[in-house]
Amino acid sequence: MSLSSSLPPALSLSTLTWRYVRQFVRLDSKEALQYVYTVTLGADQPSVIGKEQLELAWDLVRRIIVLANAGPAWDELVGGFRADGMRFVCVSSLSFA
Amino acid sequence: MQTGVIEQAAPLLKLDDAHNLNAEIFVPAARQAEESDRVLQAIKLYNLAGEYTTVINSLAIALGTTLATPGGGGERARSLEAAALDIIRHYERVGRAPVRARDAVVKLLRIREALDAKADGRVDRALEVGVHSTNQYTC
Repeated sequence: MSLSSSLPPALSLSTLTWRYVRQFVRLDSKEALQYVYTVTLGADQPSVIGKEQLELAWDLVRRIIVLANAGPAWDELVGGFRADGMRFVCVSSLSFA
Repeated sequence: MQTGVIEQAAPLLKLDDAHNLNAEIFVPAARQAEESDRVLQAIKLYNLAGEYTTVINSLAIALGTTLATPGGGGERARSLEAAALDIIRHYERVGRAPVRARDAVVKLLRIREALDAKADGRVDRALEVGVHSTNQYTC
């Protein structure tokens, strides 16, 4: 919680979330992501605050990608790769693009 | 396939197209991975984001480092070299990344091949690979 004389007391959801998930982020990055998505619940806050919450969530997602252990679970995070390093292509990913 | 779980949840992150997802998540994460010395992950992320020239440049730098490492860099270097070979073959086939950058990676892989041949005592093979493929003496 941050306390400042000029502002009302505030909780930092992203800091609290990260403190919790960093304990298991390497081993269970998918689970960690679920918690991080809750940070985006503040995205509808007025003015710059909503955007700030989104950027905090994006930052945590990037941290998870970098910290998660390499292996099949990591590949699941970012998408499948064939042995030659190329992405699998399927209908759903084409429509996404 | 094989869409990643991050991509599937992109709407939750309010990143609703591939361009924004790459710009806000995958490319910066690739940079961070590179800085944390997680080269293979960085390369996969750059590839995912369509930054093919960066993939090849990162590969060249990483291969240069493993070649200069005493003892060849061990298991980690082997998996990097295997990935480099797969990626370069594919990029050559589909014409991704500038030819010059690709050539650099090919030459670095040849040098490794020559060094391995030399280590196995196949000096003639080492010389052949070294001279004909790279136009330079490697052993």
